[in-house]
Amino acid sequence: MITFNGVTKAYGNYRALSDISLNIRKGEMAFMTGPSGAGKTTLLKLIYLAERPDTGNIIIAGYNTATLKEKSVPFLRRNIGVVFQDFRLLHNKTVYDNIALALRIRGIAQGEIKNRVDNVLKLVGLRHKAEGYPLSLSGGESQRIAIARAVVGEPTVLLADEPTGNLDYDNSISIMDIFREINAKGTTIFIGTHNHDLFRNTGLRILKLNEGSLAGEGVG
Amino acid sequence: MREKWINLLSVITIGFALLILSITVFTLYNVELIAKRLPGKFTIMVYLKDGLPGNEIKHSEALLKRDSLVKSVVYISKEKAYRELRHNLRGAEYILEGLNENPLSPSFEVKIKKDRFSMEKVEALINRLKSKPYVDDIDYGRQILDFVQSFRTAMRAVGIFFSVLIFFAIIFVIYTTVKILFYRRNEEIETYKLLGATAGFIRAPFLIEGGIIGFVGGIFGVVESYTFYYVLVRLAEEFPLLKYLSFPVNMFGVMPIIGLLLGLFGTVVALGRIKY
Ligand SMILES: Nc1ncnc2c1ncn2[C@@H]1O[C@H](COP(=O)(O)OP(=O)(O)OP(=O)(O)O)[C@@H](O)[C@H]1O
Ligand SMILES: [Mg+2]
Repeated sequence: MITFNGVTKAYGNYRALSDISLNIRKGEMAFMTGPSGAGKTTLLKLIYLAERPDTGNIIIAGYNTATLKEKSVPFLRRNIGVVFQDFRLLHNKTVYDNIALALRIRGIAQGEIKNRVDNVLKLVGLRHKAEGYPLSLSGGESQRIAIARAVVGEPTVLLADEPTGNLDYDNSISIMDIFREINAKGTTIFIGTHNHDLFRNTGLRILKLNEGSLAGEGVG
Repeated sequence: MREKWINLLSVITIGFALLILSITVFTLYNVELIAKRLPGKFTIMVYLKDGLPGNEIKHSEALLKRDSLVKSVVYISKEKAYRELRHNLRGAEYILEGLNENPLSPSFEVKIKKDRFSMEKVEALINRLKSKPYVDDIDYGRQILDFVQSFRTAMRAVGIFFSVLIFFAIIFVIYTTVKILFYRRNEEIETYKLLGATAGFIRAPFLIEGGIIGFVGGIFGVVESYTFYYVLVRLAEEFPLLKYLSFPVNMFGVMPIIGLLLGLFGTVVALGRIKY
């Protein structure tokens, strides 16, 4: 589902990623871990096309991103749900409208939007916050709203960048339960995190990133 | 909130630009009207050769009257012209003393129908008359006509220049407004793109906004132009000369449409290409 072949990415003279090759299978749930600055966010950005690689190629759901037409970018992105490290919630919209936006851009009818937004709010346990604004939410609540927005469009791939960065142990575990539920429906999930609690004893694949290079794989 | 003020400011600016546009059109329109009315006062003096037989004069007069351009023809005989001259020289008749014969020519005083008037047609008529054997010379208010004509042409050029300038000004106002709104929402738009919004989806609200700003600016322009018109009507009560001016009220309906179209155009230019 996600394949990197010898991918390098530099910001100016700074090499954020060097010679990355990896493969995440369809329906898999996998982790990427590494210290701050290792390049986790950068690697995820390459997947959802917020950054382009300097060398190597990236294939997402069968599309080579290097040859993808600019016009097709939005359509590919609709297949990739992203939980951004900084959430990217819009402060001038309610929680409901933030989540609904992901469906409105797809031209989905109001009635169906209502049903699906209700469902994902239930999934993350925040139905009572629907009419609240992002600035009134706690860090953990914002994180769960960001997850709700990422999954509401039923993407084939879900990327999560530090999805438990603001959560205590119990909440982190409940987020993992949500991910497992989504993964069980067939969604491929790739999570970047330095929180080892998330994958401990999961039996899932873990890619280790260090200073921009892959430093081996493990199992949680 | 601040966006509302930016929008209001551009609406007002566009309104005033359109007011200037309607004053420009008003001025042009009236120059045209005056230029058209002028020929009513316009006369061609056709001087005839001396000693033409009476029936030939009658014949040519009838012929001239039949011309589609001609409103009236008055024959002024040699004698009548002399009498008029004497009359005009009252107190100084001695000037004519030394002459032992009447030096004046008989003439036709030709008036032109004003609804048919055009400089080209009048010149064609004059050329036709010049080639007639009975015509000695032709005199008409050429300088005045030429002056009016070139004034009209100049006014047209100035008017078009102003209109184009105003169109560009309106487009520029919309362009700047949309650019500001776009940059203020930059983060938001970035999020839209990351969620998979197409360029069309991102553009749509700006097009609506730009269109509305232009349209409302157009309505504002109508209100201002109408006020201008009202003031003119009021002033005409004091200064009767103003009564001769007319206002092209028809253009009121067009202004919101002009505003809308320029608004959309300015927005399209401001948004440019949405990059991914
Ligand atoms: N837009 C950018 N311009 C320049 N340098 C950047 C940019 N984005 C990231 N970097 C640098 O690239 C490196 C990798 O950054 P990245 O955000 O991918 O790390 P990360 O693994 O996600 O870290 P964290 O765990 O703190 O989120 C860092 O050294 C960072 O400073
Ligand atoms: Mg990061």
